[in-house]
Amino acid sequence: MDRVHSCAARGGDTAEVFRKLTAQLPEGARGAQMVVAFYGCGHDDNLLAAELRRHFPQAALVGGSSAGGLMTERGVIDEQGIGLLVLEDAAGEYGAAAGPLGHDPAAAAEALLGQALASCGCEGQLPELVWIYQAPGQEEAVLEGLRRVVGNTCPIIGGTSADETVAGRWRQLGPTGALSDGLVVGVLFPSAAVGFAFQGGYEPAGPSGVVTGIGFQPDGASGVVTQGHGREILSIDGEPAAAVYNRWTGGVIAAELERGGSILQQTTMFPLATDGGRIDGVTHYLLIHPESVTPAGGLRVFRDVAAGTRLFAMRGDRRRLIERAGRVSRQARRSLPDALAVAGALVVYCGGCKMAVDKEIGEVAGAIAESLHGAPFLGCFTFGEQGCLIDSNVHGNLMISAVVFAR
Amino acid sequence: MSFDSPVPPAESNEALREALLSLRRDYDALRQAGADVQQLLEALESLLGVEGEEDPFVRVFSSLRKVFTFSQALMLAEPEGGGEALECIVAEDARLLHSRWPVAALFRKVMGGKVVATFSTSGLPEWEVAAGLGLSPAGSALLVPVRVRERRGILLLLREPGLPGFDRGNVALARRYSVLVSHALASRYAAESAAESRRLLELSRQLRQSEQVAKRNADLLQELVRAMPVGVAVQDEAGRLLVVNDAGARLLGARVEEVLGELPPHLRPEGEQAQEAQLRLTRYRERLAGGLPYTRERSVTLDGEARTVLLTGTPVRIFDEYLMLSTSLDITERKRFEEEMQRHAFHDPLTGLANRALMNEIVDKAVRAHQERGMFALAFIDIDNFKQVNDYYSHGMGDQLLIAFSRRVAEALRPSDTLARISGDEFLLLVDPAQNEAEVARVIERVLEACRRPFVVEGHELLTSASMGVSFYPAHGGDYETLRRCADSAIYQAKSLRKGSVAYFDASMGHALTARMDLEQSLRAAVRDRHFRNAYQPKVRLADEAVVGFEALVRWVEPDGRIQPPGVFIEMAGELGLLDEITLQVLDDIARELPCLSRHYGAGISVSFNVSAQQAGDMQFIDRLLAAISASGIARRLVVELTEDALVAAQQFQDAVLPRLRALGVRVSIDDFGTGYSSLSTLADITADELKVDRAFITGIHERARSQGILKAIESVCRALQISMVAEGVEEVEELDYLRSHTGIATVQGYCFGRPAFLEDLLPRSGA
Repeated sequence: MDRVHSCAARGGDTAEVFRKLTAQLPEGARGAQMVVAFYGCGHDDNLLAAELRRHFPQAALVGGSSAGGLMTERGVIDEQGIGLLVLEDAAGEYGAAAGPLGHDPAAAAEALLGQALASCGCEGQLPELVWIYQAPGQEEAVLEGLRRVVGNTCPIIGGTSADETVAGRWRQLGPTGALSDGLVVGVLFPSAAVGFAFQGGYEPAGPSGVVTGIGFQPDGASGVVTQGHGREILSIDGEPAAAVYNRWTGGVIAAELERGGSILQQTTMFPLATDGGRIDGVTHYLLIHPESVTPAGGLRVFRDVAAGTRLFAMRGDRRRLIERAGRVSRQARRSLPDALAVAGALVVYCGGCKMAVDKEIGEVAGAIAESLHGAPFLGCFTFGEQGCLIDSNVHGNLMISAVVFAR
Repeated sequence: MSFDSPVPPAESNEALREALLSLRRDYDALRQAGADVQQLLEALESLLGVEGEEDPFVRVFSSLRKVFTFSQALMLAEPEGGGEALECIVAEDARLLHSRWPVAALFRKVMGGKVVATFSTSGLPEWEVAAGLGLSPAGSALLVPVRVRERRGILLLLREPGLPGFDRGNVALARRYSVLVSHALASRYAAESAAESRRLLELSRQLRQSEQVAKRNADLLQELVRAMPVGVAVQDEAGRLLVVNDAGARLLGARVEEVLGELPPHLRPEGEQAQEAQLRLTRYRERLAGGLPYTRERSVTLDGEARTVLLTGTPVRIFDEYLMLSTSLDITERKRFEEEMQRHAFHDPLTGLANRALMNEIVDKAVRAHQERGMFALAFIDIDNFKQVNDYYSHGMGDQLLIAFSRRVAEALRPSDTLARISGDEFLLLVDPAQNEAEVARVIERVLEACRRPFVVEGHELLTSASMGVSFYPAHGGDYETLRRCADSAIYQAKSLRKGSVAYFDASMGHALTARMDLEQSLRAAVRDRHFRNAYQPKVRLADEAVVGFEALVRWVEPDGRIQPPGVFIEMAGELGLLDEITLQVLDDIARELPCLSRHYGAGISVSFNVSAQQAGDMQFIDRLLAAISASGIARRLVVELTEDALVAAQQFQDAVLPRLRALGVRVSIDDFGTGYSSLSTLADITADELKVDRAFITGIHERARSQGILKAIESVCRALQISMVAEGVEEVEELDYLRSHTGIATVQGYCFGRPAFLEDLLPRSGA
């Protein structure tokens, strides 16, 4: 890795902000091989894409909208911000492709992976890392499609694009421009080592129960149940899921239990989790962030859950949410071989956690910066996180992932 | 991986779990790293353990299996002669060996040093050949760059479809393995290179040494060539001297530096000799082109002296260049020596005259010259009584006489005539040309007259004469040998008539010559076929008439039974050199017949045989005779009879032969005593056991007082010298009575007691 630059700027005018961004970069950065861009939903991302293509003609472009801003080693910028992570790595190879998820997200993902590899002349080659950024809702299908190609032989890391208000204004940015219901796939073959970590920082609260009812996913107009998993948990242990959850959490969604609606903020500290695998008897939990209470008393969540899956009640606290990012980044750094120095990093921090830490998000950035010894990084806030948990590429909620590039 | 503390400050369950997980990850990472290191070390150890000519890739593949899981492994490398495709140089599956794989982006990336794992190779140009090899593009592949000496290569590990693909952990490990394999192979080849380098160094040292030796040899060779007494030169096609040593340059009349690189002086077309030199140069080039070696002599003038140089030239072709290698040698002295030898070969060393061989050639040449017409004469000249002069004065005087004689005769000749000395005192004269016989006669007469004048030799005046026999070409013969024999016959005739005369060959001599030639042939055959037998004449003791010995007298028994006495053939045998063989045959017969004689006459009888004066002076014959006597085993029973002249004349016989005869036990008898030139006083000088008084003194001894007195004197001397006496030729009873009553002679021999007879004729009578 030759050099990694991070830059961030804010403003209402995308072009102006872009100019500020490029002003922070050395001229040589224009030859960068990859550029990651996160930005607030208010920006003209097509313009941004065009500017990026113009300024970094050789670079693979990936990115998308980030909930409420972004962060770098210099701190956090709000939703008017645009942040870039610029990778100068002449000996490395980087590719990207983007496209709509369509009705077969798995197939789309598989195809986009092929296109991304082809874009850098690496057809058939196993990347060091696959980076994805996608619209919410089809993450498991996307991973399935990608696993068809690479299985779990390389980490698939990324995030679900987010907006400030969960209003569907999320965006994905790729080589061809911006998408709203799309998938951006980046393939990275860095010349130096890459480290990563994917972690959730909650601990079991105690209660657990088995999913007994899942809201079916109709296939088109027929309404035929096509799969026994979904994102609407109807019942746990035969009871309405929301009620069970409310009981597990000591009534944090008591008000919504009656009227339904978004429970994002309340549940940030009380996620559910599935068993993501064990190491030496210690369970890794894959978190589920309940999103809302459905009229049927079920829980809509931000990831697929299969019927029969045991759910665990988890709990966290603010301090740990703040510190967790630093620990994850440290872990990612420590996963580099031979204590290599960090050239730069890419961090995905759950948007829900950001909402939970609120104004202390700056500490999060600081913790990350400290753990990375001040190396440039770019962090986004997402509505879902994808990463490698116990050698499996999975989608989770309220997770934090860090990808560290060695110098 | 760093080891800063993973434990967060707060000790919540989450923190503890995180710490535990972190430790676990660290542990797993360390364990994996350790396992990786161990595998890599084992692989390295395996690789470095490759010995000698062992294929290192056998080890590479076996070490790979410890580190990776794969279905197939093969090694692709850049072909040694260059080319676009990679060649499979090693494969676990032999079918893949030597397959050629096109190089496109993927292979170029790997050969550039990147480890690449593929999840699919479908559609890749590099895999176009794989389908034909039974390799599925759907399987995962791990491509590891490896350096094999100067060739880039790819270690290709394949997993079959359905198996988990190679992951980034494999990629990371493969990076280390790639380095390891390349270094291990490089080390091995470096070791080989080092060994090779040492070998090359050693080779280089040996080459340098060889070079030095070669240079030394070259210098030595150069010095040798320079110092060789033989001239050595190398000339190119143009005739220029590329090489010439000191001797060669000297024979060219120059110094090396004057001629090296130039034409030799005699080939330079310049000056007065330009035309001639040009001709020589042309001949040189013709010789060079002809390719045939040559040898010739050339006359040169060096330092004002005429010299003869022997030149040899050998055209050769060396490195496509035609060269003449030549040697030159000053053979002036050798030529002189050869001429000297020639002269000696064809000239008589004493007189300087032509010898028999040269005369033969000169006569042959005359015959050829006169084949159409003309005549010449060949004359034998024999100095009368030369033997007596030799014997009386000395051999030195005899030689001086010969020299004076030859000069005297030469002065009497015409310039065109040729005088040759062919043996002893015999000369041949070629009178050529001759218009007629009268002209020849005039020359002959001058020669005879010249020979009659006294010669003064060492203060002594010697009177002698020459007998001559003449033959004419073409009347008497057409070749040297015939003419010589005719002249020989004629001189034989001249001598028998009157010494100092000349005889011209005629028909009667021709008959005599023919008869003589027939006799010669017969005699030669007789010697070859051993037609000689001994006739034994007894020696009788006078007191009791007992036979005390025999004299063996040779007889020639011809095939038709005729018996020829010695007088017929002895002289000719002597002339022809056959007498030695006859004498040895006489000895052989004595040895063979003596046992029979001994049985009848007693073991004490002796047998004597004759040796001529000429034989007595021939040490070669004497050696043979003594060897034969020694081998016969009857030496003590033998008596050698020699005439007094032989004993007196052959001084070395006294000094060298007599002692050897005595040592063998052979006795010596003086034969025909009284007929030679010796006096009684000379008996004191002769060491003999017996003296045989010639029959001249015995015949009529009873009536001849003078003979009686001589006999008495001889007897007195013999008594004093203790030499026993034998009286020869006793034929009459009266002679016998006289000897018995008036002398002390103990032994007699003669017809009175028996004629010489063959053994078979001898025995019956003695047995009666």
